[in-house]
Amino acid sequence: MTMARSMRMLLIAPAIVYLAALTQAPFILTLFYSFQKWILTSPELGVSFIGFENFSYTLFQDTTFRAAVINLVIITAGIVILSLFFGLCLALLLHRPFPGQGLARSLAIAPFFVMPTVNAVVWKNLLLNPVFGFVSYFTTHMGLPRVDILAQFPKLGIITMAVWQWTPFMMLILLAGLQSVPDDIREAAEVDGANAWEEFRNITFPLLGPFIQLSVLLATIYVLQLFGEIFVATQGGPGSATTTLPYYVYETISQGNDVGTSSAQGVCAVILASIIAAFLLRLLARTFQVSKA
Amino acid sequence: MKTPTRVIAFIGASAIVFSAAPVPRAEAQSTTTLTIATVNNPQMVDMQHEVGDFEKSTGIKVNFETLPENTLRQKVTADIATGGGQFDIATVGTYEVPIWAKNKWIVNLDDYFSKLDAKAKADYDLADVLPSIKKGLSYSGSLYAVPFYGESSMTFYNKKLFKAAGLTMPDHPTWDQIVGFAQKLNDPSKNLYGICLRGLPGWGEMGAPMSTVINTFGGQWFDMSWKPTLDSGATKDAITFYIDTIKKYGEPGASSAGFTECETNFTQGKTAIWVDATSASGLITDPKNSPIAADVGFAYSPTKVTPKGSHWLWAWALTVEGSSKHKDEAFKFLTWATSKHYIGLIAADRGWGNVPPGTRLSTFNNANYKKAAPYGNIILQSIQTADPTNATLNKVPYTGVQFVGIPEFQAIGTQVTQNLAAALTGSTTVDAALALSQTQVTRTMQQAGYYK
Amino acid sequence: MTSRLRNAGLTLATYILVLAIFFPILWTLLAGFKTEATAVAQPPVLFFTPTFDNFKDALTNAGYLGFFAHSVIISVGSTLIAFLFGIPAAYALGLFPTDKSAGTLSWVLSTKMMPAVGVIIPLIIIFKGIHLFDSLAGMIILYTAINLPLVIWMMRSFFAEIPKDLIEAARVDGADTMHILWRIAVPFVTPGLAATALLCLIFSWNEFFLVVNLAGPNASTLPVYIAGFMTSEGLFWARMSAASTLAVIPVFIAGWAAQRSLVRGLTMGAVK
Repeated sequence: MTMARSMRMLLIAPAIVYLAALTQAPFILTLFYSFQKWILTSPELGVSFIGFENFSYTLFQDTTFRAAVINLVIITAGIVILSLFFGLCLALLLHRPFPGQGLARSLAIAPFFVMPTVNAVVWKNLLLNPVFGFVSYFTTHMGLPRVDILAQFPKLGIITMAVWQWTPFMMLILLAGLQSVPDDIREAAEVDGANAWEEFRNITFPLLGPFIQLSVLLATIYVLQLFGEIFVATQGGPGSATTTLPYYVYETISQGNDVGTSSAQGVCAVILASIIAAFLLRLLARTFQVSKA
Repeated sequence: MKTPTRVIAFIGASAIVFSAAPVPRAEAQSTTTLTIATVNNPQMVDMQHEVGDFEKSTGIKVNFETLPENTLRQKVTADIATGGGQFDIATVGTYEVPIWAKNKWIVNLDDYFSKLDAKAKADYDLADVLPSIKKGLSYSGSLYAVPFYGESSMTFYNKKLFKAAGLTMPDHPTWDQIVGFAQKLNDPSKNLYGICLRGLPGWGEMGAPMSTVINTFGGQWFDMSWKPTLDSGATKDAITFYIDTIKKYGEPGASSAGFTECETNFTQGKTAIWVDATSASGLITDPKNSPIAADVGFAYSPTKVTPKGSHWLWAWALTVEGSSKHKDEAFKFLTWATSKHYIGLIAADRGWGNVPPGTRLSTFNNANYKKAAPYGNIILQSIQTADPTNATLNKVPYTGVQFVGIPEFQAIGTQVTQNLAAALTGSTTVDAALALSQTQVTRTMQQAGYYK
Repeated sequence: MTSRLRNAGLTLATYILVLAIFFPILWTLLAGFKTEATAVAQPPVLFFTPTFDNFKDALTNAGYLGFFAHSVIISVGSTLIAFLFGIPAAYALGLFPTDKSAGTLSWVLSTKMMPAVGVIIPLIIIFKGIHLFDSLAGMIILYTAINLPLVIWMMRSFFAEIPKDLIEAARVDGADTMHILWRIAVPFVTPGLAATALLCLIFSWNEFFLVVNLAGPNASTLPVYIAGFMTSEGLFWARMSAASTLAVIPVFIAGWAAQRSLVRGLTMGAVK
């Protein structure tokens, strides 16, 4: 099945032109500033061209930048993998018809509705605070020690908050995908005597392939920008334990008021995200190629 | 959704969109609107409730944009640095005023004060505003902002817990005494902790009380050639003491504990001692918000080697942006919100215990205020003796009591306290954190051109 | 019998899981009805006399309605426009891919790779320069650009699942592209549309950093309203909980509507 080239252009071009017009100009300006020195609160220093200095500092001398990249990869991977797992479980559970399915689904999607910063405030204070939080109340009454998750296991704390929020995202896409799996194929498998696990592994999972790919790819791109939770709950700390690249850029522009360095960091973030996305696409294609065969 | 419905929906949406698009409109006849950037502290909330009084008497409308402190500072800075235009008035602190004045971002208020007629000058009574606060809001001898409320720092303690343990808090405690009390009152098995000190990273969070400890121990952030002095001598002792005290007798979750968390701990009766902003006094003695309102005791901020810099100086102030198109109207608002008349309004509506504290001598001398705020004298003394130009044992090249008055300090203070938070949670040692901080701060100062 | 038990067991497990997931939101909802002191009391207070002060305060003093109106206009507007541009593109890329399609899709995705914090100063400068600063139109235009890649990628996957015979049959019948797209393909992918629309709405509804820096009183949305309750001096959790509950209700309604559409497309049967 083919489509005339002119028709394709007509359908695709508007979107591409719109995107290009709106994203390239800011990006080019950012690129421009990445070669400048501009400190907002020191206007007497002016805006001056300094070549690759911002980049060489960021990439070769800034130890916090390196930590930020590593933290970013760890935290993003943790969130995406765990969200996928729980999202898949939830999607399967909520795909079955049962009384109150609509209500259950709405409740399950709810975490995704909450603003990330509100999510973080609630988790940090009402739940995770070791003195007056709900979780520590629970654990101390079970005989366990009073643990300060955000201080002792900050990455785990951030990942938990974000997984709680992003599982519904995965669930939503996978649920929509499950609805696209024709019932007659599943029924045929049941007739053939396949049990639930076999049916899932051999039929549902491969047919969900495109949607798993989609949800993992999209979630990764979004989670790479994760900011609100870190901003409220840990401010990138303790130390630099939860300082990810977006948060580090935020610190550079809002505390250091340094437009040049933050622009350079932003450009590096784009390069890093591209590498991760390319790697991910290849990994996903290979995983689902195998199972399709 | 069927296609026709979709089309209708789209048309409907477009209609909304394009009707909402800004049409260049002529400036409304005679009603000027002022836009104020402000934080959501209780005193500012009161200001918003009372603004009707201003709008009625001047016919000027006021728009408040309320944001958390750090977000506000970032937004206002970004706005001013890219040409301004968003705000007429900004709520700033004693940290920003001298820096923004130097950058010519805010308006010199001396000119506006001199243009007031004799009655207005007498009514406002600029001389009534505490001199140390005025000093903190000046640059090159001129006033650039008017204080909305001012504060220093002091010691709060739970009288009931002290009595039960047979302890008495002196009026002017030393840090050694405080640690002694904290040790005796610390009882984690009962979810009770000796002392709450800010451990939340941030130049204005942990940085503030910690800097006062550095000062009173005889230390300083920088030497006269702007080299940081964090990892040696009195400064190192002070920082080590601060971190160790929290670790031994302080609240769990310290690395996330800022003003609000410590206030919660204290008012919930989980902490015996709390050293923090004097502005907390109104909140913790309010029975509506504080279960221990009746048991709160007050003392001066602890000292060690010198009383200099042992308690901080901060004021939230209102300033007029240089890019404002309504400077005269803005100045009217400034003088309204910081006038004796305004304080009277709050006293009538919310009681003398809730008036904006720490700005005017007349407030402190008011009999009703003294009754509602018996701790007022400690606050007054503390503010009057907090001198940003003389807060350290040895001479320093900077001003500021609990911060260093340079634009780079935002980043430096946050970075250093961030490193120390890691020491607080035990993932690194204080020594290592300070060594790292030295390197980072030196680099920042080099980049900023203080030295090669 | 075992099948019935198994089903009941699964249903129970589902409910427990879902309620556990919903718990933090429920706790926030309850906190909105407490006083500040009660909200942070330990042991946690389950039974208390509710107060409506926080909700009253949020609705009247903080100006909820203005922010709400902005949020609705910006979120709905940007979602609809993103659909308008994105669905035709997704249709072409999903059902009629060429060698260049992968490249196009990659580029579309790459527009989402720059963190907002890295590009905010240029955005402020540009927006001020073209007079879109602090305007509903400006925010809608920007959010559309942010949602477009999501629409294109998601809908492309759903369009790609449409049986080719369906499209072929319509072409043989002489239908033109627009008719096939809007009258045959789109109704087929209603679950995908619902999911995509909901996600776009949520992202626009909750976006904070861009709107706080690029908007003022004329275009500020609910996230800015909620942030206004956070303070570094004084307790605010009960009030913030009330504010965020008010902000979440419309999204919850949208979510309920969306998940009802997550049923099989009506035309599934038409393939046979």
